[in-house]
Amino acid sequence: MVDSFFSRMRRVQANLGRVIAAREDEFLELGSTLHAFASRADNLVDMARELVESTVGEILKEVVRQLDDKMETMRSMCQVSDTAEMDEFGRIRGFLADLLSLLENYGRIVRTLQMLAISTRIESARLGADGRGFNTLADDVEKLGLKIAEYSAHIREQAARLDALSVDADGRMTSIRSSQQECSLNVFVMVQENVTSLQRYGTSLDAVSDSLTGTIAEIQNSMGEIVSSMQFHDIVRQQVEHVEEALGETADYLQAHTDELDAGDMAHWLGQVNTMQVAQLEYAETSFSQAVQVLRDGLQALGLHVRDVQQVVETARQGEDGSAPLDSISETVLHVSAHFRQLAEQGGDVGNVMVAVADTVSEMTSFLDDIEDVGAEIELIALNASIKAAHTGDMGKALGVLALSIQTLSHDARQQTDSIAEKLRSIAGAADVLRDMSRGYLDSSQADAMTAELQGFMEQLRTVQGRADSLLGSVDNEAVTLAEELDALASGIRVDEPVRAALQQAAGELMQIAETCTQEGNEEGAPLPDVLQAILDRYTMESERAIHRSHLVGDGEGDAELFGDDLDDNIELF
Amino acid sequence: MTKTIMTVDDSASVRQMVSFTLKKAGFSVIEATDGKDAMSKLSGPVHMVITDLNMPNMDGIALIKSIRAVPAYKFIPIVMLTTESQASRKQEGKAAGATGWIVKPFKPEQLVDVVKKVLR
Repeated sequence: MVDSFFSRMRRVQANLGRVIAAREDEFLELGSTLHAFASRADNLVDMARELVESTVGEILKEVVRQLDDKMETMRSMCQVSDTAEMDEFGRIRGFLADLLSLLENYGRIVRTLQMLAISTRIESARLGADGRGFNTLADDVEKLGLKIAEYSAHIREQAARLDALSVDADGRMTSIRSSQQECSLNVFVMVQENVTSLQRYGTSLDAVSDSLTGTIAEIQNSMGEIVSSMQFHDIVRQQVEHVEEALGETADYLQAHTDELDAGDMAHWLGQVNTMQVAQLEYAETSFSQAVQVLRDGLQALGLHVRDVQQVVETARQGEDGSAPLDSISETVLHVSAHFRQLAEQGGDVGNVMVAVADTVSEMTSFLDDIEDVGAEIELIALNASIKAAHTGDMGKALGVLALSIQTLSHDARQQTDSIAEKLRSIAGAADVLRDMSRGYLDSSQADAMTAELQGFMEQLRTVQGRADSLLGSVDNEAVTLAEELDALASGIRVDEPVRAALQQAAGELMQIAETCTQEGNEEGAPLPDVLQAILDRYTMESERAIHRSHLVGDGEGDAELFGDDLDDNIELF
Repeated sequence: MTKTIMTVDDSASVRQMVSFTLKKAGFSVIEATDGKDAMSKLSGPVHMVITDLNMPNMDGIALIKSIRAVPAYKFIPIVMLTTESQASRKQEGKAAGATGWIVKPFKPEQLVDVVKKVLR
């Protein structure tokens, strides 16, 4: 009867030999796929890290730092100018009004000179040959009148231009002050708010980075579970091989010694051996099933973590209000840059007007010497008239009156001339002040430098934005695809089903043998022979030994855990 | 310089997982199917060996002894990676010249930690 048990045990042994070993290619293929997925997950994480930490994080922080550094400079550039320039223009316009008033008085002198020239000619004609010399005097007086009229016209013309320029400059100054005011009130506040908001965003990115680190740790943890589970193909293969060896060697030994051994003892031993192998197979089946389930769970968890990466990255891209912070800072920088350019252009315009005013004043003051000569010339004419009148004697009494009038006029003319000259000098002084001031307005280097720096920021931001968009697109696409593929891979793993079925079938067969043998064998059979004991002792794994102990000695349940609570217990360095 | 580690196991799936883990950690890996195969591939820069215990042709203990007999590899770290956890077997491995013992299954970070520690 026992012979039939031997052949059944050998049949189970032969069937078991194919159960796990035949699945190796499946595991290897799964391993290769896993390798590829792990690489893709690593790449995804690298992209996410670059996006969160380098691209958005570090560069953003650097731009914010630089903008913050420039804030003081920008603040000074947006500072509304004081009214010195406008005051200076006001002063010039005041001087011009005074000058025009003085020139009105000059007109009176010219008219007097014209009348004196006519009177001198009349008196000269009355005197006949004796008054001939007075014609020259009349000519001189007339010429001087013309000269003064000509100078006055020139000065009036320049004064009118100057006044127009001053009005123009005043308008431009008002405009630049309004721009500065807007810069100071709106643009600067906008930059300040933007920087503050970006600083807050930068701080929130640190939290996002921590979250990403957590997700990465979860991914590594899932990968660890998967790698551990994959090893159960080898572990369970060995467990099943040990069962195969025990079955084969037990059958071989007992069959070889059938004639020498008691049939009841042999049945008893067969009952023991097969019961033990059932327990080992059940444990192997549980281990394998659990490992494959952990593998499936690990892959699904990996898919979820990959989706988490996508979520984290999306959070990193968006600011507090859901808008992209890089877009927002780009707009601000563009706005500020345009504003500084406008300020520089306006400043240049004002500077040019100042220079034009100064140049016009220079032209005006070129008459200063001529005007002063007028005073001297009229005095000479008056002196000449007095001398000639004295030479003429009583006949020239009338001319003496004329000479006296010329003398009086020369006194007035000198006063007027001095006043005009003084006014022109005042205007020239104010013009010099304006010319100095114009240098500051014409020097756009500070605004140009700031604009260039802001343009530099823009370039950096454009590059960052481009890289961020590209990374985000890649992360989005890859995360979706990878997560789907991981889900599909996890749900497609069915390797445990045929293995479980085969192990259950083998265990069932051995259980039947064990039950029959136990029933037919001696109730208190002889102790297991050393040879069979040695076969059963030949376990390599603690779990196998635990099962062995629980069945033979009743020591413990042999319910070994798939993964120990502290995996480091499995490591020993000598 | 990238360090080279030899993994010796008759199970292709275990070799695959060891190789996968070590390559991911930046190591170069040579695979061998048993002790005999390992000895035939042992040439050039091999900085460490991770071997199974029970293998056909030449088992892990014999492999350790063979490696230790080659002057160039006399002192390289050799770690056993096996399902075997009996103290007597560990003692046997230690006596043969094993540097450490890892019982399967391993977690990737464990293996990498051990490798970094013994290669330090």
